[in-house]
Amino acid sequence: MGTRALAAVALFSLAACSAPAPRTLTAGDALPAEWKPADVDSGVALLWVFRTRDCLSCEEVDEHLRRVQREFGASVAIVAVHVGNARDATVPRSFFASRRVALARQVRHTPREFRRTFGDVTLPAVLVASGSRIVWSSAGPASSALTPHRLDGVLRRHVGGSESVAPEHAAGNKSQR
Amino acid sequence: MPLPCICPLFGRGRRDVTCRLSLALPVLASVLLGGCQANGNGEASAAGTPEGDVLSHLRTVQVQETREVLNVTPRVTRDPWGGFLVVDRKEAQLRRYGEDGSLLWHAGRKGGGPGEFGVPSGVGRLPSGAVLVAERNGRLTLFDSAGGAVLGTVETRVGQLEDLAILSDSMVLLAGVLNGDLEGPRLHVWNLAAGTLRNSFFSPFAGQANRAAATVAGWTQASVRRDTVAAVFALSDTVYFFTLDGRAAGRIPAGFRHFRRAPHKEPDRVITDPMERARWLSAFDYVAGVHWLPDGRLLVPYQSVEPGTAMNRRWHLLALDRGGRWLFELRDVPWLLDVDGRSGEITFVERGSEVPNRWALARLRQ
Repeated sequence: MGTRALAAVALFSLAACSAPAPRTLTAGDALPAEWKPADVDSGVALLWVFRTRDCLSCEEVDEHLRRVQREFGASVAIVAVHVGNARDATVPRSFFASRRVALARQVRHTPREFRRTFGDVTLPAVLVASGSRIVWSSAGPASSALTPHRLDGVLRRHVGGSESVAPEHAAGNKSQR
Repeated sequence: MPLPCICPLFGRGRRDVTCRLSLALPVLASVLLGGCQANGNGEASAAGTPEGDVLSHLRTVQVQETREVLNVTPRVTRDPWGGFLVVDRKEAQLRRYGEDGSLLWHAGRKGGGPGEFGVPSGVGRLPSGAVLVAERNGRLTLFDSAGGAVLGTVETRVGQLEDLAILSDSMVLLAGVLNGDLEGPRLHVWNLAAGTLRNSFFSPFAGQANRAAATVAGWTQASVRRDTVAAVFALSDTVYFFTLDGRAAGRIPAGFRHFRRAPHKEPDRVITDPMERARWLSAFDYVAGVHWLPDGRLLVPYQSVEPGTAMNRRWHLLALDRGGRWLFELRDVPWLLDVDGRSGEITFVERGSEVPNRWALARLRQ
């Protein structure tokens, strides 16, 4: 191996060692300010953090979102966090319109800025936030943690206002992309 | 109208592929351009729209919604008792609307128990008044006339069940895949009274060059007029005719002028990336149904999907006479919900309505 190749390997190793640890959005994390919906009395929000491709797959998260808006009404704000490029913005817009999901807020991050800000996060992710904290998360496609029973249970506990903002971890939400 | 499932699981040589999840296509939202100029109760043309020259607008119906009832993926059929019967695949619900769009009752929810649905895919009312709901997994549920009680359920073994037609109190025509055999017949006369299959016919899969596409877009639709069944397969540009006992009674080429056919060549690998898959699925059109009109003319709606709108669908419409003569073909019509074979009334989502809760009723001009 020549000197140049050795240098490249060393540089590579150095870069790998100094790379920031992968980060997962999970219970206990602070809710990014730009994701926080306004005008929700309960302070409880359900967030779906997704890529453009998640609107084109068989993911059926919209059924959860509609059920939550039906069961909880204005008590739970639904927030969409799209990780995608501007040219794809019509995809989630059409997705939510046709799936009859009323959003309290829609935010878009380019994949690059999302990665820079939040690190290597498992997507898609469904989060529940109360106030300025994430209190529950379920990440990855077809997560077994994302069941009506579990999700609605978490929301009920927090919408009531009696629950402290203690982090709750959903099973299987720790995997990294 | 069908809200068929286009499943991502496909690839060369895969015959075991079944559609496990319903994509939201169906949902197929509405890509509705412009606005219908005619409202009210009198007949008027939908001036300035592609369909304006061939359809007379009859009336507009605002269907009632509540916190519990939302039209997301409605499959609509005219109720012989008046108004409309609706099953909504994504909402797992059965509904009856009055002629004016008022919600008369609703039943069902997501689940597998009696009166619950996985993916309801068809509905009809028997002459007795009972309401029959078909689910995509092949289960049939019989409700009383007001949707208040479940009279019975039965598993038919007809999977990917996408269409039904009521023949009598005891017989119903089902469109789907029997025992998972893609190559087998797709139309089945089911004896409700006996809970048995009477006969099966129409095997379109074998003739498909692109088996991956035929698996993914593998639905069959049918319409019955007197004792003749008209049937279509999603990728086939032919209308097939049968007697109810399954004897072939001819076929006519649909004669599409704008239909984009599926490529003969299958993908050379399994496409797992949703973006790539969406592009592939959007490269050809899908026959979405066939409908008899009272005078024997046929309407053949077809669809294309659009990745840029989350796989929502664009609707197109072909009309033929019984002899197969091309009458007209329109691209970009509103989402076609139903064609009533008795009255000839055609129900669309109103042009310009972003969600399917405002319907326009029209009739074909002579």
